[in-house]
Amino acid sequence: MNDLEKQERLLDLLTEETVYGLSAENKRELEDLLKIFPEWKEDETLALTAAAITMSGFKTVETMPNHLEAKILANSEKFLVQQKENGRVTDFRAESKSDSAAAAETGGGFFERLFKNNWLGWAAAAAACIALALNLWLTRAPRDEIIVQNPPVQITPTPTPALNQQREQLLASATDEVQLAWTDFDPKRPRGIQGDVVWSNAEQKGFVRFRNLPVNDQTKETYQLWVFDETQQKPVSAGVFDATQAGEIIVPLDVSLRIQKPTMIAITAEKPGGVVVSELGKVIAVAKVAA
Amino acid sequence: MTQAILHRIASGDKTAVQDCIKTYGGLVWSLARRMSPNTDEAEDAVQEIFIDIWKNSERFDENQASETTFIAMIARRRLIDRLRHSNRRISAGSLEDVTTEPANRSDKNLQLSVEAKEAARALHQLRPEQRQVLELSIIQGLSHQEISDTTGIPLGTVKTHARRGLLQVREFLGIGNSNIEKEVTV
Repeated sequence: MNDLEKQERLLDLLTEETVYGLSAENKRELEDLLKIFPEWKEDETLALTAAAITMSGFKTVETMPNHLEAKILANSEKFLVQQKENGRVTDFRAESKSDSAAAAETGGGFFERLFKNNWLGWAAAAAACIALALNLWLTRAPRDEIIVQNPPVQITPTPTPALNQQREQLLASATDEVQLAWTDFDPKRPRGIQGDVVWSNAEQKGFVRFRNLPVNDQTKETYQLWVFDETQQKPVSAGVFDATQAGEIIVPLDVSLRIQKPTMIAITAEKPGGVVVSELGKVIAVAKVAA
Repeated sequence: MTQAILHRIASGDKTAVQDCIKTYGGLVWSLARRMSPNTDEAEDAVQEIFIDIWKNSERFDENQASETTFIAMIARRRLIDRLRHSNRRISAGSLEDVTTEPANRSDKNLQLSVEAKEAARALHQLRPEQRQVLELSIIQGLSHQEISDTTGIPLGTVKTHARRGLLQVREFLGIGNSNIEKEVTV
């Protein structure tokens, strides 16, 4: 590989790292190329660009739940105390390039600079550490009591309910469920599909039920479910399945994205294995949400 | 000029931590919701992301990009890392997005809108095939192979479009202008 080809390969890997992350093998290749082109080692411009492109999809943002905000604030306090005790910060880029989500390395940072520039920081930190240690000692629970308070948790596996029972449970428990009947996509070519869709936005769970769905030739096609969401440009795949027998079939809706405003559920016939984006060339039936 | 929140965090200002959560919590939460399989995972991810933000606050360089973009970068990295470790892929959704609660017309949304428009404008400056590949990969979450299968573009060409498109958008947005000597023509 000449230098130009190596640089192209480097940029391909940097692009892939930015968009998808890299496999261990590709990370090693990237590390080797960065030794040849060290000026790219600390470069974050492609990652920043990808972030800007991602944000181009946002008109506004959702409000973070209050309980989550409280957890983050509590975590930040714990983190700052821990950093003060350890005197360490983690190099995030070293983490991601070494395929370890939890690696920690010694490095300069926040508290180091504070301590270097301000002797009062040392005094305050020392006092805080002593106070923390004293507090922990005075408030510690007896060892035996801790063991009694936290007995090992026994987990008894429970059998998964059958799909019809899961469907009934959803109908019983959800407060916002919609139940929609299947209709023919093309009234001029009725297929006689009967059944319904049950969906709960709050639980992000649903089931489809069919009667008269023809058994499909699995070597040629498979059935795929789609949820049309007002907030999405393309229908969201909700899973593939095969009809292996006549009679009633119940299939769970397995959505890959959070559904916000469903307008319709459709079943199509696609190539075996399904597709990422459907051309909607063979729509079997649809179930529309009332406007 | 108001000091950047991340600079304040890096210099030990604890009130900046709450400001950071208030200002960028919505963005981080929205990203996590898009790129996580369920709400529980999204909540876990957001907590990890903010730890990453505290750790990396001192690396923020306003000459390279805005604070919003820097934080979005940190969030995306953690989310992609989590997906890779769970062997999952999540489609990041479409170009459209809406709030689930009434829109907050504060300054943070105004800033986000300005940057979002710049990036959207940058995408529209690209050749159609480059724009398509970037939208399908970064926004829709399709792999290069899936893009090749769906569009009929050879896999090698998909990767070339992604690389060149990303570099073009970077140039249009002026990200990392201090590193202009690393301009490439591949």
